[in-house]
Amino acid sequence: MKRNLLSQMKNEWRENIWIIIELAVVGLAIWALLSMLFFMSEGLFVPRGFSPDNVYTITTKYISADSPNFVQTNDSTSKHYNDDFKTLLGRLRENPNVEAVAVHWGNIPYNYNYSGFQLNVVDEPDSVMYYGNRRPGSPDIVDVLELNSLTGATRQQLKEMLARGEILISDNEEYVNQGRDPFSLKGKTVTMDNDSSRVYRIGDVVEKVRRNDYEQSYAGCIIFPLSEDDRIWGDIILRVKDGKSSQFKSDFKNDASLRKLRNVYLTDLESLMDLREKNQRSTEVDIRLFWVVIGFLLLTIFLGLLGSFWFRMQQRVGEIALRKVCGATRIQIFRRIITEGMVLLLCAVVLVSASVWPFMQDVSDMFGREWYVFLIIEMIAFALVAFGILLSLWYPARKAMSVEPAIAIKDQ
Amino acid sequence: MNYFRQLYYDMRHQKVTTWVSVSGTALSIFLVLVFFMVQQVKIVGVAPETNRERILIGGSLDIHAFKDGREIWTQSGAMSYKIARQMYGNLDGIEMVAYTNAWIESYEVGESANNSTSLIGKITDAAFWNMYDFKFISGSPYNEASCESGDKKVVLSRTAARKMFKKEDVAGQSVYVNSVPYIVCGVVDDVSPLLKATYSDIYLPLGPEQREVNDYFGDIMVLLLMKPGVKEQDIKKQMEEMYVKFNSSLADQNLVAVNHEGPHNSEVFSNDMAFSNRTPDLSIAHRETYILYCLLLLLPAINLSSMMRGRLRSRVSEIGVRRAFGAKRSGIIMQILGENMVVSILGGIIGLVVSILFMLFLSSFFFSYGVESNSLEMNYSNPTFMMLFRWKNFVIALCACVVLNILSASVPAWIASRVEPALAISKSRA
Repeated sequence: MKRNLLSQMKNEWRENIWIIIELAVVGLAIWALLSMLFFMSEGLFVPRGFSPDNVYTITTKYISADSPNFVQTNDSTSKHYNDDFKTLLGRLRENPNVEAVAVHWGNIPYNYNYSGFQLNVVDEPDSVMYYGNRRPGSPDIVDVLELNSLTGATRQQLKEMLARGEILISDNEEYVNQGRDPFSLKGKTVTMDNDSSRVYRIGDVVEKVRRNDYEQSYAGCIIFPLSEDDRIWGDIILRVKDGKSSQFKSDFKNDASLRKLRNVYLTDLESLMDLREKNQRSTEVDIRLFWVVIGFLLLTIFLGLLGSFWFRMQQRVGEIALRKVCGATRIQIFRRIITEGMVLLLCAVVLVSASVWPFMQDVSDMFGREWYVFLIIEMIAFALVAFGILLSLWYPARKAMSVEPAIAIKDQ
Repeated sequence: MNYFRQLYYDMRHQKVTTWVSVSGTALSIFLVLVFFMVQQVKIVGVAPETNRERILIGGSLDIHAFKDGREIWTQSGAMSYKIARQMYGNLDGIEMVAYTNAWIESYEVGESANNSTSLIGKITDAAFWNMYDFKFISGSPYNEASCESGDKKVVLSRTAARKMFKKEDVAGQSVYVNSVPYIVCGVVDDVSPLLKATYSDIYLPLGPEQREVNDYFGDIMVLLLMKPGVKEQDIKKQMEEMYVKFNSSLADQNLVAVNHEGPHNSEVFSNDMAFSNRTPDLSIAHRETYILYCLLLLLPAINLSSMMRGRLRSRVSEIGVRRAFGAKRSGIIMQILGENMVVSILGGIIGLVVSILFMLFLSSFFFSYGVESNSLEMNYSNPTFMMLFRWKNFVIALCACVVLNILSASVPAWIASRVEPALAISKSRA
């Protein structure tokens, strides 16, 4: 039976060769697309280093002296701006729906800003440089973003470190790749960007606060302290209590004292989740598009095989009828057609593997992934193609099953 | 006429294959057109950016500092007004230069200082209004004198005017921008958020405070309208010479400015590739697009071709009879190609209609147009009908149909035309 099938397929080699080429091209394209999707989405399986739920950002704005709304003060300097800003911070902290409030300088998660800084250990001129994205924040940023220590320190201890003016660094693959351990920097004094006037002590090592859910940066992250004792300025990031988001939004909208004090006003209340959607939109759009192209490729197989096998079934009506007369069951006819499709797929898998695997070492080096990752993705890609084949052959195979031998042979 | 009747009969009696052929063609044309239109939307000239193909965009600077031969720091970003004028202000072959701010910002705008909403604002000079053909619904734009003197004038979009005043004819009314009083001097028709160089809710004059920044870096973007016939490369060549001069002025400070082949055209700008510290390379994107087009046409062509072969096999006797009565091979090939072209055109029309509908209502969920804004709704803006209803799109649809037809039908037609009449007729009798 099997030999008979192979001989029959050999006789139709002209049609089959095109189907094999099509399956090979589609399988290869799906393999490439799935690989890209996998590499793009890998970041989703790594901890973010913070929790975006219930977090909101607020922009701080100041009324300039040429505005008719400018409230005259006795202060000839700009100190009153800072004092009023601190008062507004205090009012937000007193709101019963708010858990924690911090000040930041724009470099928060899901924000495009990247502020690359290097740290060098003082008195160790030959030390390897630690490079990372600087994220300035007041001590409460620890509670707002729910930062996690990698050395077992509590959030309270992390806040105290920032309040003392110490910086927090994260794990850093780049640094590790240079043969150094970021944990060895804990407690050391470093300069920022080789500037001897900017010396800091490293308080602790925390989970890396990534820029978005997909980022796979190998550099570190530096939580830089902003002291609220100084003339602090910046925008606000806050965490509301679980389930209290709508109450807080309503308070912020209706209570003018939360939003404005003399020449300082707070505006653009926005959840970090909305910021996330905006920031990650282009990546997610790309991912969606990749799936659409994969869908198109599978649909192409579906239509192609449906059309080809539909014709074959029409031409083979007599043959199928004879098989039935000779005792073949309906399920055997069905299985034979499906097997034909799977043999064609097997040929395509062999063709693709033979053409691609000689270059797999180079591909593996280029993407920095082990060869078996590509093998697994290839298996998934061709499993999808097999699914497409099953769907497309189902209808012609069902038709073939229902051939009435007497009528078919009479027609012939 | 008989051919068409025969085709109609054939299509009616081969419902599954007709359905598969038409939907396969429609799907292929749909995808080719969608990918083509997504690229076109980024460069197509529509009001107010009618001269988009003649406009170049520049204004970023990448400076590297060296000490004892070693690089100690780098800085890149938008230029200050002073440097932008120095670099781009006097280029040959340029009809007009306009300066705007490099990125969109949000402003608190309202009829009174205490009742405001957040709107997106763009700062522009007076030349901006001459470079683009905005449609003024009310009033007129601010002029150069207003910019120089720092007049508090503002142009609103139709939507912004409606949002604040509940009407559009509001020229002369006062409005508060970040609590500062301004006079509305004009109202313009809304611009699609996909037109990044011109889109905004409010337009404010580029005043002395932006012009007097005495630094290399600032927040200025330069728009250059090339004279008709001038090539982008001519301007880039001049910029190279400009960079040599600029670098000689920086030499005493051990600074080097790197030219990243600016200014850039609309395609680079719309694809978000006008980086300040990297030279954009569109060739990879172009190569990927060509590969994609090949895949989108080739795969359905293979399918249609094998179906066509099957269909022609059942018509062997008919072709044999035609040949026996003196039909030429070329005639048989043309007949088959013609029949297949009808199916391709039918699929093409469906593909074209569906692709335009998709682009109008759904495309922003699958494609990124480089729109960056503070509102989620704006990020999901779709192209307008005027951006899509272009003759180029129809030509591409027709070309795709012809290519698909040739790819899918030429080999089966050629094989069918080689049928030996006697053999074909005897086979059919047997």
